[in-house]
Amino acid sequence: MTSPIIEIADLSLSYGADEPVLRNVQLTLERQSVTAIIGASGSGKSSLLRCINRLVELKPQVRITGDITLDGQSIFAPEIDVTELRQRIGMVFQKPNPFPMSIFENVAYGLRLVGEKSTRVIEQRVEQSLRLAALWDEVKDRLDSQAGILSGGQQQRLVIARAIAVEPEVLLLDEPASSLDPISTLRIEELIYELKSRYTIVVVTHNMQQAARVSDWAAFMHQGSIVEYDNTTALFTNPREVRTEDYITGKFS
Amino acid sequence: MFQSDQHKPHISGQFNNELGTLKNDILAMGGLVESQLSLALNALLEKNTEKALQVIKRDNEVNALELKIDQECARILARRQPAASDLRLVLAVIKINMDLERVGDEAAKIARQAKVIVENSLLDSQFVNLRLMGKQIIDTLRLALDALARSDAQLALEIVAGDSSIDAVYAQAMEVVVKTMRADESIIPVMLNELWALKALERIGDHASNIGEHVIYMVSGHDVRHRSSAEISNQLESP
Repeated sequence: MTSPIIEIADLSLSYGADEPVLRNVQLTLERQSVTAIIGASGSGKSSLLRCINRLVELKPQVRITGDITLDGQSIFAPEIDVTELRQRIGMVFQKPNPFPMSIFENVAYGLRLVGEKSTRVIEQRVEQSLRLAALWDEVKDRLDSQAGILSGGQQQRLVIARAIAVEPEVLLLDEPASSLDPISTLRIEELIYELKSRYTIVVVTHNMQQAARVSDWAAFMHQGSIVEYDNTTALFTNPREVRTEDYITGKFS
Repeated sequence: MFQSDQHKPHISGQFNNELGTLKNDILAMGGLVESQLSLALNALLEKNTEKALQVIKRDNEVNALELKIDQECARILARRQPAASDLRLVLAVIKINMDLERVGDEAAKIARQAKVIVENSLLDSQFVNLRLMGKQIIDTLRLALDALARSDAQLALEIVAGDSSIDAVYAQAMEVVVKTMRADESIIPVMLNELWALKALERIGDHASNIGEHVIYMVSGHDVRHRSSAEISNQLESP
């Protein structure tokens, strides 16, 4: 790994008195690459993703130990502004969640939120983001239409455009294609590939073939721990751990 | 079924069955090709046309099985997207299948030579070198198939390492052939047949060594082609 951007050190997470959801997670994410986190339901992969932008703290009675650094600075430091952090680390969820407003305003929303006033700058940024999200050609003639009229796949690309409009450094994608049809899924995967030259991408997915297709690095999680973390080709052709082998080959374990 | 299969089955019983069939078929292919080679050598050494014809006829079976195994591999790749050891198994089977089919071709070549020798009544050679080398090659091929059946990387490594000794035996045999030709021109036609058969055996030795390499890849994930056996040994020891 040549250029780490995020370092997760000894991170544990629990809710109240319950069993920990994450146990001593160590993970270094490389800049401008795609890292996939795979694992069964309940293995902690979504919780880990939600720690990286501190979204997890919205849940009650959450307890976090360990640290996550972004460019060497702890994201839990008292001087960190969480809204600003979430601008630097954008997130896209499983179900596309466009706001009930026009296509244009969906993408402009974040820009207005961070105080951008210039109409010219906003228009430029909206177009640029829609282009990057590979949606511009499909919506450029109907930017004032409600976002709800778009197909599921288009909505998901719109949400990605909204996330990248504020120029984040990291994009967290939580099952970004699991509610989409196969062709829309391939579009999202292609988009992930295109976007990694500008952003660091972390994608949580149930779909192992998808992880194998889109990622440079892959981490396998089991019961809140990282079992194995390696470059994706190595992990999918010759995993070191039996539990990884069993999971990716679909064996009983 | 491979002996390493004692470990956990797949959640998909159907996938288990498909991989099981693939393993059975590649071992059956190995058995068929091995018997072709034995029969072809016997045809030559016993100067038995009957056996030679049988080998030539059965080469169709080898070819048909090759196609069947290839189709199974393509189907598994397309429909199951195998990963990790399953992926390495399918990749290894594709390559081993190719090597075995070539062994079958070489066996058929030896059988054709045997036929020519008998038909032309060139009966005066005892094929001493051929007898020696033939036994060694059959043993090596059998060991390669054992290594495959048992998923035994150590045994596979021994086969890869042993290939240079086969090459030495071949070089020695060639020397004898040339010397014999020089001494007696009338024997050249027979010796040419012996020479071609020796060459076929040497090629089969190479294929057996290739199978050993594929088994090592299948078991350990290390691609050891184009490496010396000392390098392979080191690679297998490192995790």
